[in-house]
Amino acid sequence: MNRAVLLVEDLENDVFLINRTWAKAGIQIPLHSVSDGHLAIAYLAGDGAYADRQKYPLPCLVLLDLKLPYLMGMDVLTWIRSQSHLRGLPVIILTSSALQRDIDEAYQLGANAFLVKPSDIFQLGEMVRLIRDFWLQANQLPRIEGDVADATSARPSAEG
Amino acid sequence: MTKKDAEKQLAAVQQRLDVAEQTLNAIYNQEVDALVVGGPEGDQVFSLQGAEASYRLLVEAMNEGALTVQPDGTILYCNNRFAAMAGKPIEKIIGSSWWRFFAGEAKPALSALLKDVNDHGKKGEFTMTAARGTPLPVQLSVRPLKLGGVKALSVLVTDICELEKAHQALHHANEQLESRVHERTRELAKANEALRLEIAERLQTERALAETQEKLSLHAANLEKTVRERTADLREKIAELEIFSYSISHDLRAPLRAIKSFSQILIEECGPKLEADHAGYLQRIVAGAQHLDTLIQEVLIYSRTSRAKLSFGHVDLDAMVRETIQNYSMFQPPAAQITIEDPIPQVVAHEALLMQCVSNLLGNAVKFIPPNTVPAVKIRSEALDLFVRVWFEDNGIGIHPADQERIFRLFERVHPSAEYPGTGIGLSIVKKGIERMGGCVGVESTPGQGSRFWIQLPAASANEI
Repeated sequence: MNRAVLLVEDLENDVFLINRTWAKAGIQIPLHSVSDGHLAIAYLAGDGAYADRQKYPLPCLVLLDLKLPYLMGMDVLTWIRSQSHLRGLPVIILTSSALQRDIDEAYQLGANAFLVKPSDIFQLGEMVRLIRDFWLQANQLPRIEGDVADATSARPSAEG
Repeated sequence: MTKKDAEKQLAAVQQRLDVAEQTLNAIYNQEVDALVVGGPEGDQVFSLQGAEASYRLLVEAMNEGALTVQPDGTILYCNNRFAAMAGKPIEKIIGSSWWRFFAGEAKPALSALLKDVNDHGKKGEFTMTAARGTPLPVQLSVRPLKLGGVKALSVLVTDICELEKAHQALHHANEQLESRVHERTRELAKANEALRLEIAERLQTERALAETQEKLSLHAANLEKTVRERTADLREKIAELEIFSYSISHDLRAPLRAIKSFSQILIEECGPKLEADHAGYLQRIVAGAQHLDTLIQEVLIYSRTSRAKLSFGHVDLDAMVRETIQNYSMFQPPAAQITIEDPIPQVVAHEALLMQCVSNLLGNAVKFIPPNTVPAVKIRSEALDLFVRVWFEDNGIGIHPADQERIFRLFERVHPSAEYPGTGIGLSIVKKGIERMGGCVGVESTPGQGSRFWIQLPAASANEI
């Protein structure tokens, strides 16, 4: 099955750095990124180009920045949790400043973890390895159904 | 004796006999019951014992003076009491004029009394000349009396001395009472007047008070309104400030992240190919970005320290210090040797803020040390009545007295960054934070002999939350 981790981040620099670090950490699961809230929802909903689940698999983990254009991270989170099939999808908030208020709200809305973007590549390396070791290896990921592919395979054939 | 003499004697005797006979006849016929007989010592009264004896006794024994008087004032009869009052024997009184017993001034009134008297009788008060010439106030009660066809007057003389005295006393008492009443009335009137004035004043004061109260409540309402507006304003500003600092933090740190990270990547990937100088330049870029990043973070902390709403509780400072040491390897051996002398008493504080302050103090303690020295920090506490003072004693480079005050100010640094990196914000966060929690901070130090920083906070034991 096609696995993926979805990174929702608007800052190009940060996308570059995380991707570079992801590769350096030797993580096999590909990192797909979208640059704003609307695209994040489109990806997860399988809209438009994202309907191609071969190319754009439904992620088993989401790394979500809070400060996004068009739609804020909190709203994306709220949308994710409103989708019955996405309710179990692990979401890690990855943002630059940690206001207690934001941390509390994120958890209230159903975030699974809250990480602050480190300011240098060494700390970034540590953090990515942490994600790899905990979330992708030690942690048992849930199965996210509602895949277009799964849906068609599960539905009884109309033709009989 | 001659015939003539004898005839004279006989005539006299005959006369006397006639009178005696007449008298006897009168007595016999009950026309008289008393006789006044002229004798060698004057007139003498002889009275008959008999039917009127009891009346006679009454009159004689009574406590009032009684007189029978002729209209011209001649006393025909008086009783013993009158005689006693007058201080003269009865024989001397009878036949004399009663005017003798009254002073000249009384005469007109007395005459009038006697003239006016009718069957109903009349009374009057006069002053009688009594025994030894002393004036005696008496009441005369007069009534006409027919004495054998002769108009006379019966007079009852009552000694009203006591009565007079009583009257006088009463009068005096009355006068006194009057004067007292008068005085009291005056006092009362005065008091009344004073009371009226006071009431008038009070009413005025009350009116003024009511006016003032109205004004006051108006002012208070205005004030409340102003306060509400200002508070809303302030809250708005604080909220803005918070958003501002949050944005600043987020938006300023992103480019810094880029500067730092890419410089580091360059060093990583091109390091071996670069000349030492060039690699050095990259390092400086990284350091600069790092410093800026730290500054931003600490200014954010400082700003939050000033603004944040604090919630106070009992804090186990001892556990907090130990936890801080546990959390950072730079506070543990071999990097540093930090010891806590005795368990630190609990204090009243905002937990997160206090942790920040402790962290900053320990950070400084292990940072500002002479080269080739292992930082050794001793933490001890003093219990002072209502406060707890915690000392952080280090073996660092010490602080010159001239600098001891300014090091707590924002952005103030004593040493060049080359020697000891820093932002100059750490201690200002400590000072601001501790002071906002109701405490104070200070330092004792001698250059070259370490520093003893202290923080003082309200003791949990003295403050029930």
